[in-house]
Amino acid sequence: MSTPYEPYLLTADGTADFGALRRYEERGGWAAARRAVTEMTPAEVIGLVKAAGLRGRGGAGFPAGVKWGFVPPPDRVPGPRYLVVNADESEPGTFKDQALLETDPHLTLEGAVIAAYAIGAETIYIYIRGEMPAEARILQEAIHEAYGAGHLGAGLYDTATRMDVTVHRGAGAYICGEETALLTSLEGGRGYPRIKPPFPAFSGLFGQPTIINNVETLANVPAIVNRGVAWFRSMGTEQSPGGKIFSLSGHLKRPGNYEAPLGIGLLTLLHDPRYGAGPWQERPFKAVIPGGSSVPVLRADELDVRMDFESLQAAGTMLGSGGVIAMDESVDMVEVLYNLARFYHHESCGQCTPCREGTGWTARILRRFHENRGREEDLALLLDIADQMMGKTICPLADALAMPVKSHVTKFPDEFRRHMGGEIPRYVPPSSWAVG
Amino acid sequence: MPRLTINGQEVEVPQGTLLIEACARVTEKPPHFCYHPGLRPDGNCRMCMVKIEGMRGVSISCTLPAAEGMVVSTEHPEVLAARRGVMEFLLIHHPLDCPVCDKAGECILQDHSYDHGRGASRYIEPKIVRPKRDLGPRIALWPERCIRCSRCTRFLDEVTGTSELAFFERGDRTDLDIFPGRPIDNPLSLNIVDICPVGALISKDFLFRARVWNLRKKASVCAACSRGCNVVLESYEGKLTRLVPRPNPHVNHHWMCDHGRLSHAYVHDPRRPRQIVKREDARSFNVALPEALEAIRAGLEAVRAAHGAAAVGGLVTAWLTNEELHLAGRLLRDVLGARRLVALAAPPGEAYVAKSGFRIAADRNPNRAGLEAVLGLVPDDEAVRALAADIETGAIRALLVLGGMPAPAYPEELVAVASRLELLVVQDLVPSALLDRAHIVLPAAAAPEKHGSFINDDGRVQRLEPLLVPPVPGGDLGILGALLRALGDRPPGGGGAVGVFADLAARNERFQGLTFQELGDLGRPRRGAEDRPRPPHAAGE
Repeated sequence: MSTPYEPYLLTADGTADFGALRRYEERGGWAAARRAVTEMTPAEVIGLVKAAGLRGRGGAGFPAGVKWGFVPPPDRVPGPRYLVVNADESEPGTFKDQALLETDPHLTLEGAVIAAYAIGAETIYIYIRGEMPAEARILQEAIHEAYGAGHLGAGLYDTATRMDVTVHRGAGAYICGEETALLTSLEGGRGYPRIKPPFPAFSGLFGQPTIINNVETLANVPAIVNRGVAWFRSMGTEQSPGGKIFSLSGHLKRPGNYEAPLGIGLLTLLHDPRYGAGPWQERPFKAVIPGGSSVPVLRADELDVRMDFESLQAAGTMLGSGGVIAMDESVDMVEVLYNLARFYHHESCGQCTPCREGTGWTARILRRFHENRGREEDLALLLDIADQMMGKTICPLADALAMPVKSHVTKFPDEFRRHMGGEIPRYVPPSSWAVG
Repeated sequence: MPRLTINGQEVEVPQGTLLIEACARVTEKPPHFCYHPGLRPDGNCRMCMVKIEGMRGVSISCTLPAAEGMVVSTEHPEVLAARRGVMEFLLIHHPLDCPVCDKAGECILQDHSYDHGRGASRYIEPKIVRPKRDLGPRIALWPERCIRCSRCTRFLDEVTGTSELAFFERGDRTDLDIFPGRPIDNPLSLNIVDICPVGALISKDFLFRARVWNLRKKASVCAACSRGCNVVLESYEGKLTRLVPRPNPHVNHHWMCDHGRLSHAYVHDPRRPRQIVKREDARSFNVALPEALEAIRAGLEAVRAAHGAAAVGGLVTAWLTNEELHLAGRLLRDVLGARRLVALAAPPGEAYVAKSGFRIAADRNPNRAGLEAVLGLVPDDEAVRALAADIETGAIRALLVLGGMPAPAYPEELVAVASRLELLVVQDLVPSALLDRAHIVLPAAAAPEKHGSFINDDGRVQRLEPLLVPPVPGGDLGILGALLRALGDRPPGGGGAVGVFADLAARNERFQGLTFQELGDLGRPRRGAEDRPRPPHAAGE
């Protein structure tokens, strides 16, 4: 990189509180929304975001502009359109959206207004994780400010456009971060993912065309409108342009959220003093999960990869949500996988057979390993169960456990064998986490 | 009309056909648990996997419409592996209590396990244990057997609209249950027992009564109201044990009501008249049919000689089949020249229309439309009272009561004047005050004992097949034929249901063009009636 990367996502200092609007506007905030609504057509906004190549930051990496373009014209599907902001950030190891909403709620709001304008929506729903009460309050106050300043409401910027925002707090289910389960939950139903097709762009919330975008995706949009395609594409890689917030956690000297261009080296993120600043207590890394808990784990010898969608896919893992979990030599990979399995077992919605039964079975086998009662044949069984879950369900929650199982078992088989002979003293988990 | 290739065979199906139904046209329907043709697809069991060329992995066939040019395999190795996987998952917590399960023998979990499962389980962890519980007056739940296919919740959401059942908890803790204080007590509730692919939902009426492979079965029609739902009658050791619906898109789709299933206790009621009885001077004798026929013939002759042909009256019910009504008309009108022929009405029940459009008729005369088509009669208590008045004045001296009904509904006026009759012949299904006053008692055949046809309230002529043996061999049709012979006539077409129906079709324009055989399992509209399948869902797809 010739010019140093200039952050544009995490630019506010400290926590946003009352007065966040003034501070946001001082930094040039809400200019992009005004410009989009008053000077651009919706098609021009979609074209701009398409050209910028902005990919979804929630995990799947689908191009945002292309997604917006899927919304059918009103003569094909009449009635309202909805923009839904997915702020149900629950992936273990990921805490970027929380930071965005906590420090700079207007950035996401502005991006949401531009996106809603682009797809012809007049209503924005923000589905925020139930365990983020402070962020929900900050967001609500920001919405109140935005209504007062004319960034929301009727007659937006003296045009005929109307924009309303409703904040909906989730009730604690991880599955409701999956976009179709989120819609069902928003409608008041049980958080069950829906079968696609129909895709939400055709039939989503209340059966109407709906676009669901992650908080960070929308936070990218104002800067693209303000500074243009060339600026955005000057960062990141050809296929993954732009910047990204990486949530670093685990055995690092400086865990936290760091904004960096896509394509940055994982080793740079881990060791550079501007980011993770190296392993905590100088114990060497054993493994790193690069994109949130559901992606395949990388061994210490596999860490020389670039952090973008295509490079990580080539390395057999995924960028996911960009939550980097670093683990040093003190970590027992069996306990890591057991912990993940308990999480996905607890969070499976129970709709599809392979996920409902497979997550529980996996967790129970790993509980035996955790109690040093593993068997050699369990390794093949774990991989078989993962195969029977992978790609066989409505939503990717089954895959989210199957991928870590496959990578942990194939990359660290000897650690599992250590749990077969009773070498390690039994660890007793808090009872509330126990697998039934 | 998309054309696609399934297992190498090309097939053309109507637009919108689901892939699972398209597969059924060329091969066996892919194995499935949650899919049911009467409910909206949900795609949760993941069993009906197929391989579609050009698509990654395997796809479920119950939610995808067949599309032009699709190349589909139901036997691809990936498909077989996926099915095997789902089967294994479904059985890890299943109690495998087939030996004591009501569903065993008609359980698709059992069937698919034979076809697609492993011989032994690899699951050695503890199984989840759940206690049985009560869900309402007619249904109990064995939750460990439940595979969470949601057929029952979808039925209660889509067909009845009552939504009593829901899933609680999440993941493999997901538990089917009712809401506190809201038992399942709707008129169609027992259908969820039929559609339950396993033995989780259990009918308390059928519980532990028979192993299903020991049941004898006959395709017939329910006689509990004038709707004529198509059913399968099932008996164990000669006793009617269960009625289950038989799909007919023109009448009942896949469903039937709880009243229809449970209103057949009279068939095996110990008080039901099963013997031919002759009463003389306040004494009763069990007699054989020829003796009873001779007594009836002699009685009628005496009355006709003393008071003329018009001194005879007849009363029929809508429990007689079209064929029996045809013979009754010939007997009473043509042979005896009866003064009055009236039809007794059953007291109306409660009408019910489900959210899906499924109907229970308030009219509880099962063959009311047949009565009208064959004899031009309408069940009418006023006409029965007029008959009673004729008996009181002495204009009618002999009365033949034919058909009977499960709940006696003779007007008091008729019972009061019955003792004035010189000859009273009563055929009935249950004891009644009128039966007590009869000179000759003839046991009537119940609907599950009849061979013949009814016409439902849409004008659909539908066949009844006898599952049980009637008290008098030959049933009502046999008795009527013998009566005709005793009076010097002979029943048309040899007196059997097929022959009598042919005679009816030749003489009565409403039956024109129909033959008994061609009625088939799904019936045919009588001439002039509409023939239109109804959509299974109220609110469309």
